[in-house]
Amino acid sequence: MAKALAGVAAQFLVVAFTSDWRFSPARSREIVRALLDNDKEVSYAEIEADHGHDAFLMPVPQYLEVFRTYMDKVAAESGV
Amino acid sequence: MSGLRADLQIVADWITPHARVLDLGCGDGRLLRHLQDNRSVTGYGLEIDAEKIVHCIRNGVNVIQTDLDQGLSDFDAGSFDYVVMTQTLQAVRRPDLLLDEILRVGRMGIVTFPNFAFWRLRYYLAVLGRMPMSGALSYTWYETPNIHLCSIKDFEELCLQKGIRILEREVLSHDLRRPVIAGVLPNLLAEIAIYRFCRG
Repeated sequence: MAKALAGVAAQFLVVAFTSDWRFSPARSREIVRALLDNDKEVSYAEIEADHGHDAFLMPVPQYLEVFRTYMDKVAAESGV
Repeated sequence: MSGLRADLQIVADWITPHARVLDLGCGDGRLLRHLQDNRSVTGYGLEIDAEKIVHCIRNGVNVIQTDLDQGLSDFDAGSFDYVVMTQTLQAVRRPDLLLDEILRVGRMGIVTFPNFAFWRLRYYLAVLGRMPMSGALSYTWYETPNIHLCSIKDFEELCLQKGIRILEREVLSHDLRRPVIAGVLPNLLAEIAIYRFCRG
């Protein structure tokens, strides 16, 4: 995966939910690892949640806070 | 933010421009932010606290949510110029193993910690018979995250045992002030110890 991400120019936010067994935090950490191997700009947050893979559809406060803060940063940098 | 806290400023001054830095227990990312703005540093912060991670994102710092007690397995050997850990050594389960990890991942390590042999803390224990609570150690005994406190002498002895070469040491006395005369009885007079080190 590290090779596949080598040419990427974007910045990344990777978020995983602790209860997600379908796409577990371990899988997300593999993505983060591949990005770190390529010295890419990445942040990673692991959100405590109860709803399994559906957690990303639920209004989990910590998830919303992380996502909102990141998007605010993107908006500010893009001059929006 | 305007000025850095005195202990963080000492750390920042040690870091060469354009270095790659890993900050263990980076808090709200203020040190990395300062290094990015003033020294063209690149790197990542590791932090376990959910709220602080949001602050890091707001500060434009790359932060990876991590439990330091699990080690630094996400990072390759020698992949950073500096691995920094400020006021966190005393909060991890195995500070000795983490020091090894720091020097596996980084060419140089920088740590800061509260010196448990600081005279004010000795006063709490020896005279008042109470667990010390002063300055850098402001938590009560029943909710403190500081589980592995040590003195300057303890840390230097551990470095000797592990073949870690101390390159530089700075200390701060009470209220993060520089000592009046440098190098005088640090184990007694220093509240905060700051070390730069590498493999011996």
